[in-house]
Amino acid sequence: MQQRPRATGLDQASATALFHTYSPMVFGYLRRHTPAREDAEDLLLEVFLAVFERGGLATLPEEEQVAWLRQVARYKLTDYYRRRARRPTTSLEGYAEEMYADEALAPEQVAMQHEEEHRLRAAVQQLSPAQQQVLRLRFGEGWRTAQIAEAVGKQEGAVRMVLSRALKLLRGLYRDDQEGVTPQ
Amino acid sequence: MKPEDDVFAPETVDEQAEQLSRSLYAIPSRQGHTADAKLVQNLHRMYELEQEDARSVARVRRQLEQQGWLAPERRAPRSTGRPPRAPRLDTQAHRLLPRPGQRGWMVWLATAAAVLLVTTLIGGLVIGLVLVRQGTGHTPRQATVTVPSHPTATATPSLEQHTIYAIAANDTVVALDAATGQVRWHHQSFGTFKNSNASLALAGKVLYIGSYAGVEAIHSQDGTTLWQTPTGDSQSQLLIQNGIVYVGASENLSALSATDGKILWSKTGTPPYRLDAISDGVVYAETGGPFAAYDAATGAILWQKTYQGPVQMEDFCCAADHVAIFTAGANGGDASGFHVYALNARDGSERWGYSKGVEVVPFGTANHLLYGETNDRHLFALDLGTGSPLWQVQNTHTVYSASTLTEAGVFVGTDQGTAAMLSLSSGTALWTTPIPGSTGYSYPVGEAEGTAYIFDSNFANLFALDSADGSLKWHTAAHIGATLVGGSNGVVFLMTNLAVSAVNASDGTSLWQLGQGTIAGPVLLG
Repeated sequence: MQQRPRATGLDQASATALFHTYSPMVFGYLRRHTPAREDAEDLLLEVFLAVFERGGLATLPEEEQVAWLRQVARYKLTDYYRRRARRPTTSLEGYAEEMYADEALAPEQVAMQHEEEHRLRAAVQQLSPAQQQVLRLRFGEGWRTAQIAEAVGKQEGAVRMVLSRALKLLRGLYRDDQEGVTPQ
Repeated sequence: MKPEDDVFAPETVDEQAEQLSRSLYAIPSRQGHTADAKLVQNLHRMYELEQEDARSVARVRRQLEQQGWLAPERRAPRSTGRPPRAPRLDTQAHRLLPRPGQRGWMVWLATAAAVLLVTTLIGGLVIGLVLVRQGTGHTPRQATVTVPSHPTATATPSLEQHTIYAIAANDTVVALDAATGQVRWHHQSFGTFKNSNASLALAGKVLYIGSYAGVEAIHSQDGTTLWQTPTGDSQSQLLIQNGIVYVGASENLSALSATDGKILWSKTGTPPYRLDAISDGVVYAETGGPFAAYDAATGAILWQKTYQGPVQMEDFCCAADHVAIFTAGANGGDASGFHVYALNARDGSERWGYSKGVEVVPFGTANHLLYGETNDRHLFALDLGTGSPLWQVQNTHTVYSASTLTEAGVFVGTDQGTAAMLSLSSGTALWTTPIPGSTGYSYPVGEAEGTAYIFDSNFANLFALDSADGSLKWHTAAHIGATLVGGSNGVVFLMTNLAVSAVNASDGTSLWQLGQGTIAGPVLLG
C-alpha cells in the first residue's frame, strides 16, 4: 500500500500503536458528546488524521499524550457543532437502534439514566477479572452458563457461582438506588 | 415473592437472568420496573454499547489503513476479554450464528426468513411502483411517535400558528402543534430515511422531504401528498429557490419543479452529489470528484475545481454576493498553509485570497462581509467583494471557540471561561460575561429572540444569556448537546438526544417534549 505523504516522520508502526492505545478512549469521549454514532466515527477519524499529520505525539510522555489527544478531540467536537449549525442535515444511519427506543423520557430522567450507566460501569470494573469475564459472556454475548463453562473450561456450577456473586454485588447498587440512597 | 437469598442464587441465576432479559424485551422499559430488571437491562445495554464502540473503532481503523496511515491489522487474537476457547470472536457475526443445539431449526428459520424477506421486498417494490405511478399519497400507517400527555402549562405562548415538523421513527414525518406538542398529523414517507441523509424544507404551504427514495412534497397543513419523484437517495439538505427544488443524490444532481415534481434538469457523473448552497443563480455541489458549480436554471456546469499540487481544497464555507468562499490547506495539513479563497461564482476564477500564516476558519457571511477566526486569537471581518479587512480584533479565544453569527453580533466562547458578543460592524465587545463552572472554551449554540445559548466547557450545562447585555437568564443540565431548532413567541425549540423539546425561553422550564428516540432526523419550525 502506498504511503501517504506526511509532514512529519511518524512511521506506520508508531501510528498504529497510538491508534491501538488511545482510539477506544477518544471514541468514548466523542460518542458521549455527539448525538449520532456515525458522527463520532467521523470525528475519531479526524482526530487521528490530525495526530498523524502533525506528528510529534509519539515522542511525548504518556500523560501529555492523553492531554493532547483530549484537546484535539475537543477542538474537533467544536468544529463539528459549528459545521452542524451551518448544515443542519442529519444522517440517520447511526440512529437505527435509538430510533426505536420506545419511551418518552424527560431530560432529568435521561440524565439519571446516564448517571446510572456510569455507576454500573464503575461497579463492574471493581469486580474480579473472572467475574467481569462471565458477565461479559452472559450479558454481552448472550451465552448461557453451560456455554460459558464450555468456553472457559470450567464446571457449570463454578460459572454459576461466579455469576451469582457478581450479580449480587451489583444488585446492592440498585437496591440502594431504589431505596433512595444517594451514592457517594 | 422470593426470599432475598434466592435472588440470583447459583442454582437459578442463569434462568432468572434469562427470564428478566426476556421480560425486558417484551415490555417497554418504564419507571417502576424492578431493580433486578433494571440491573439486567443495563448490563445488556452496557455490553452492547461496548461492542458497538469496538465496531466503530474498527471501521475507522480500516479507513486509516486504506489511506496508508496504519499498518494492516493482523488477524491475531485481540485482547477482547473473551475466553481463549470461546468459539466465536466476531460480535456482529456471532448473533447471527446458531448456538450449540440450535443449528437444525436455525437453518429452517434462516430459509423461512429468506423467503419472507424476498417476498416482502418484491411486494414492497410492486406497491412502491404502483404508488409512484399513481402519483398520489397513500394511507399512512399509524406513527409510533409517543406524545407526552402532560405538556406543562407554565407558559401560554401564542404559538397556535406554528408547527414543528420532524422526521420520526418508522419513516414517518410528524407535525406537532408548537404550543402543545400534540401531533397534528403524521405522514408515511414513500422512501425510508435509513442509510440516507434525510432532510426537510418548507416553502409556503408545502413541506418537501428528502429520503432514500427521492423527494416528496406534502401539504404542510394536513400531510397529504402532492407529488413524489424518485431521484434516488437524497444526500444532503434540499434547497429551494425560485420554484425549483434542488436535490443531490447518490447518482445524480437534479432540479425539480416545486409545483409538480417534474425533473427540470439532472446531472449524472461521478457520484455522490452533495448540495452545499445555492446563491446568485449558482448551485454549489460536492461530488465524488471535483467541486462543481452549476447554473441553477439550466444545470449547465459553470466550473469545477480540484486544487492540485501543494494546495488542496479543504472545505466549502459559504456563498454570497457572487463569490464562493473556500478554505484550503497545504498538503500534509501544515497549519501555516491554511488560506481562505473567494472564487467568482460564474467562472470559478480566484477573486481574492486571505492568509495569516496560521489556520484561518471562516464561519459565515452577513451584510456583504465574511466573518472568520484564526488560531492565533483573532477574529476578523473581510469585505466579500475585495477581501480587504474591515476589522480584526485580538481576543482571548482561538479558532476553536466555535464562534457563531447571530443577529445580535458575533457570539464567541473564550478559553477563559467567558462568553462574549462582538459588534458585527466593528468587532468591539458589546459585552463579556463569565460562564459559571466553565474553565476553558465554551460552546456557543446559537441565538433566538434575544437569548443566546451556550454550553460550558464541560458540556455540563446549557446557559441562556440575554443577547443585549449578556446577563444570565437561566441554566440547565438538561438538553446537553442540543441543537437550536428555532424560537418563537418566547419559546425556544431544541433537539437533544433524538428528542425535540419546547422550552420557555424566559426561565428554562420545559413546556413539552417529544420523547427520546422518537425523533430520527431534522426538525423544522414552521
